Amino acid sequence: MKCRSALILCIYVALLLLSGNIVAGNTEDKTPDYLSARWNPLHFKPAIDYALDAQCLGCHQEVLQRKPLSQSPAGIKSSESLAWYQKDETYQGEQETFHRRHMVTSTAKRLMKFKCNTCHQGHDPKDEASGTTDTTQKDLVLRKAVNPDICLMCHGKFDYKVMAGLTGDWPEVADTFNGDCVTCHKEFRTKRHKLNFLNEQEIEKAGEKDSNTCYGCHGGRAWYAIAYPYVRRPWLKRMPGALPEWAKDRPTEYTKRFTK
Amino acid sequence: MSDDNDFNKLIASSLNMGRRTFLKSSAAGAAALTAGGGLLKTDKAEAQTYEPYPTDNQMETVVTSCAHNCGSRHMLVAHKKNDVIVRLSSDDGRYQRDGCYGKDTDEEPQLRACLRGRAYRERIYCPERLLYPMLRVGKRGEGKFKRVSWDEALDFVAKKLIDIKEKYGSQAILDQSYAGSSYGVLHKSDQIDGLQGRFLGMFACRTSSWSVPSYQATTTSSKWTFGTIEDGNEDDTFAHSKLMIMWGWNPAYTFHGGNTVYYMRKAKQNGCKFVVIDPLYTDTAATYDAWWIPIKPNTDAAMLAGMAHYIFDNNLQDQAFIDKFVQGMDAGTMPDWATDSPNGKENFKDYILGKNDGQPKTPEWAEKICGVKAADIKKLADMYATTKPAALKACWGPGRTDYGEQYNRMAAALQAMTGNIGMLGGSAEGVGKAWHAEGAAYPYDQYSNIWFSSIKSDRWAYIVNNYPNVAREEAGLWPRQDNLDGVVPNIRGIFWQGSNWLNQLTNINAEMDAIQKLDLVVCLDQTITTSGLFADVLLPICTHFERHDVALPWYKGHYYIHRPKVIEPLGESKTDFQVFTELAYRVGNMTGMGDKFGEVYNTKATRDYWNNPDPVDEDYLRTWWEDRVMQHQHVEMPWVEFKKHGVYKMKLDRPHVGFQDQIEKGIPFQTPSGKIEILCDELARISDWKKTKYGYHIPSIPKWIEPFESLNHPTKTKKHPYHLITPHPRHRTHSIFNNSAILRETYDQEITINTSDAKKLGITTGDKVEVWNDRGRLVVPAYVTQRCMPGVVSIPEGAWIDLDKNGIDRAGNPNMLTADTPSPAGSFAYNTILVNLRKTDLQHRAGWDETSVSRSHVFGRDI
Amino acid sequence: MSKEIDKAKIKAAVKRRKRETYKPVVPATQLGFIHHNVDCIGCRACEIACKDKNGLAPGPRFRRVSYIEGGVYPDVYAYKVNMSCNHCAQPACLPTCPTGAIFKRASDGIVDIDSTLCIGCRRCEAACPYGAPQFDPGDNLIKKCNMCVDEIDAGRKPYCVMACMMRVLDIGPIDEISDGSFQTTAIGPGDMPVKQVKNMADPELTKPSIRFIAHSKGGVQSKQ
Repeated sequence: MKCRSALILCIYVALLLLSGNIVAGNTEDKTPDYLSARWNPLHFKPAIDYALDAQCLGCHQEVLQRKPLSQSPAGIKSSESLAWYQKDETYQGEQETFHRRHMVTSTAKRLMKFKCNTCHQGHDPKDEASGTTDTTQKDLVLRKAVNPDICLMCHGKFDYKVMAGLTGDWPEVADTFNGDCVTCHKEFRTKRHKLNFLNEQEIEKAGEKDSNTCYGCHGGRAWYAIAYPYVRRPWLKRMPGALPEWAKDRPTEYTKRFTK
Repeated sequence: MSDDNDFNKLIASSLNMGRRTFLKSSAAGAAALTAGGGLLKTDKAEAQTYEPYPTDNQMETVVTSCAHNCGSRHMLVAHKKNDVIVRLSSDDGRYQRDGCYGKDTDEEPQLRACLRGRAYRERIYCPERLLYPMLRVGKRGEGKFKRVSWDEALDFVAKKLIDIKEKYGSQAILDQSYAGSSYGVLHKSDQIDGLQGRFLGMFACRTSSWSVPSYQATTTSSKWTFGTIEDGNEDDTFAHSKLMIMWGWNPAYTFHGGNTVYYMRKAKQNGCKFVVIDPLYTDTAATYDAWWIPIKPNTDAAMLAGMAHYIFDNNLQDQAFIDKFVQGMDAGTMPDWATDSPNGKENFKDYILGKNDGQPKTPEWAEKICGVKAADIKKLADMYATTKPAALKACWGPGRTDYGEQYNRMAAALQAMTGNIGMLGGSAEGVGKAWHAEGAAYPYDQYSNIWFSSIKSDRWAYIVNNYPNVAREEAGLWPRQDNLDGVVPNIRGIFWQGSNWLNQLTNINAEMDAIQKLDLVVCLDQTITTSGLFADVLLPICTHFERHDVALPWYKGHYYIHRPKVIEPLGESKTDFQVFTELAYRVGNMTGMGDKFGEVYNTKATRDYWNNPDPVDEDYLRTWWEDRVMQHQHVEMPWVEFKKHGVYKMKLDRPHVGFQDQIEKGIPFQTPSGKIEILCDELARISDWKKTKYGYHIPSIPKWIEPFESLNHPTKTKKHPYHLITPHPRHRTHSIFNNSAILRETYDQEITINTSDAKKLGITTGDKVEVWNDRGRLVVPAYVTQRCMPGVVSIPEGAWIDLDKNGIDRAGNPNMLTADTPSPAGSFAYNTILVNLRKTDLQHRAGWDETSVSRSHVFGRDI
Repeated sequence: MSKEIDKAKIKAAVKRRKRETYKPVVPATQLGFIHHNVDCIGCRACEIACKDKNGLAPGPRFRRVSYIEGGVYPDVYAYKVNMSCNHCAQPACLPTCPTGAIFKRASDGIVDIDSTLCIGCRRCEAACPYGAPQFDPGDNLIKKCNMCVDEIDAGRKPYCVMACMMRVLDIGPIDEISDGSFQTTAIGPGDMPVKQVKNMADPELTKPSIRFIAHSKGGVQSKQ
């Protein structure tokens, strides 16, 4: 990689000198102006809200082009080293990077319609932290290019404790419900997936066909220790008692930018 | 000038070169010599390995230190495998006498290296490293060199030297050695006790450079006021202060002493209040939760005068201290002779109260000059006068200005009038040099520091460009007692050792003009530098990891660190001492002296020193340790044991406070009067200023003097409305390490601008900004912040110039803009610059290499 | 009918086997970091020490000192937040890893990565709420802080901690750091360690093993 050249050891340089394979040339004017690119207003509010994927990918194309290595340095073959969640039938195809999994694989294209700015809401290239300079936006999450709350919407914990009738994690109780999520969700949380980065109908179809698809996101790939506080809908009359404690602070509307 | 365009073209064609071009031109020479096989030794250099991953316990451990010109000196511990340093760690308490892992006491704190020291492998194993002697093949500054043998290089230099001395006499070679990369007790680059000065002086052809870029203002001030530059406390004393006024001091960037920042954390925990006077809200101000007083640059003396007025006006001065220890503070402390002196009739109090000029230097008067509210000036003066012990630390930056010494003298006057001198928790700094450390292990004898002319260091280009029409006062000539007194040198050659002065002195455009007029330019260094690009001869010097030496802090901290030869010298690099010794033998034999020159130059060596320096270096160092360190510093640890430990930390009988004996025991100060001289004897008695090294009038008491450029200037601010300061960066030691991409990743070379100014100019953070004045132009990215005083902008010094085809510096080196007109007392005017700026599309390049961008570029790019 | 039920049961049983819930290792002692946001001068010696130790090129930074500033001239403030890998009690990176390259040590809770097992799918990088896993574009692998396990195993502290000129960064058993019983120079007299600082992702996501001494302007009200 050229970009590592500053750290090449003197031996490497010496070898280059010996082999004479350093290309001649005046680098002036050919060097892309990375400084200007990384401070392009497209990276910040408000321009980022209107950024087209094509504009982002103009520079960052590699996030969709790059694939994982076919094998790790120690020789682990990518195709043979699947995580348990990748053996699930909701998981298809070869090993892919997370960007491709969310944007270009067939499952992603069928169920979701993520755009770059669905997740990326700005990023301070000076320090990857909000508030390092006077003129950048203040609502960035320290050290992350994406607010993890967005990931949490799908990758939160399967919180059976707030789900009426469930006595344990889904894998333990699925039998009781015939392995079928929709058994109950015909009644509860009937307004689902009405967000602009999801293909609502396709998701519902997939869920009706096989509840594993539901669990694939809602708990199956729960990277986080907490659940997402899903929007509270008007409480069903058949539910007993008053509004439960856990539901009191929940929002009643989704963030506007996800519902437009 | 009519040849401006031609010259710019020349520069354009030269400095455009990226690192690659340089390497290519080196390759041309290297290719011819591959058969020699001298490179094969380095093929074990797998120093960047991630896998397999050797742990520290699997490697050899060697204690050594960092080696820069930063005032600190910290321990580095090399972990090596075969002949390669795989990684560096620092002090963990294990290595000292009675040490153990984690030992870190107030008395013997760990000497932990900063980010620059930790990045040292970036210097040893960098593509910019000079591995072979090289001779210029292109135009000067074009950066084209061919590899030659040491024989050829040294003979070339020796013949040229002899030739120049014959033609132009004993002043023709300018010594510009400095403490850049070669700082140890044995292998030393310096103007006063450096190896190059000894060589050129003995050769009897040397013009030296007497003014120190970093701190000439405070050096001058402290010598005048206290009679010495050793006015400092050791850094552990700061923990005892109740009030710490940090005037232009940002140790969070400079580090400035072994454990200065750490001891001040202790002071904070003990309840010390901090005040920072600085145009920038520095990380130092943030860390110590300081009261930040932003001040217009170059007006510090006025604010201090306003404080002095408040103290006199409210009778808060320590009159008993003044009466006993101070000369010229007020009418009662004026010496009898002063009334008849040519320049010493006025006392300080009369000046402050406006007795003679009718202008009392009230806080309200000061506010108009320095921009600090009179109420704040009074509040600070009150705090300082009524808190004991209180440390007013008048640091160097505000003194790197036109009439910078007046700021330091004014601060010394305040220190004296409040009686905060010689007291634990107080401060007379100033220079700040404290513990006296036995700094020279090589023969420092009658042959050291011989010179035939000595100039103000920043006047060299002016002298060369205008010779012979240069007056002695313009050159700032140091007086002599012989017929060379007042003779302006005809400089025909220049020697750089541990010095990147072309990059680091003021007004680079004038320097680039001057360099073309010379007959010989020699550069001894570890890496190519911007100066090196202009050299005729590049002599590769090994780093301190590749030679034997002992390190000590020259500023604060009391310890010695052994620096064994950790690895063999890379390529064909040699030590400075080897090079000058061999040059002495060669010059001697060419001029009929035979081996005499070499033998006297390096008294313990024979000519075989070139091939085998280790026993001689060991001899020098052991002798130095036994005869000087053990004799004078009450050290009982034998040399062999010191070498085994790698570090010796002194335990002082009491915290070292500057002038404690003078105050407590009544020992006279080293001034002519034996007192703290607010009225300076030397200055008071001067009538013919032209014959002094100052050249121009200086008042004998501290006074506010309007600088030649400032935000208060009635006309200059119309064309150039912003005041630029050029502080030290954190990620470089001056220009050293600018080639390290991982250090550039931590900080940008940028211009700091206040939000309101930026808004006016339509600039936001990350925009490229062109900065200019009549002396030059540069391009840097902007950092827009509320932490900067409006009207003031800041660019850190030390970036390696990288000119575009129009002579605009793409790297953003502020010395493109600084002025080569020093203060009469010698201080460099680095922080006295007016500029203008605007948003630009011109290119900025932070480094010569392709990874010149900083920060994480976490997605793969093929730039 | 009964046949159909049997079929469903079998199907469910098969599915149950596949559906797994990640159960994080509960270590004997969980080690974690403590950093003083105010007394840190922000020199980044820790970052460079880390890069040198791990042989990192420009780009990946295991340890990252963030510079936070605010206020309006001249009433401004600034502080630093210093994070590497937080060696979470419930690491989000770990269950995403398809090759098992990431693991949590049972003895001290260090979340280590064996980058020779990494295929560079970058899932862990996306999942971590604190930006710990670093992609090295030089060899297309994820690398990250492992608290210098080699040093820990040798009875020493990690390079970053030992590099700190201000002694404001330290490691220790996170429970003891939290309740103030751990002796460390990182915590000054009267300082109270907190779990979260301003702009930091919710620590409930992964229960990171890090505590801070927050700046007066950099605290978070509810998550002490």
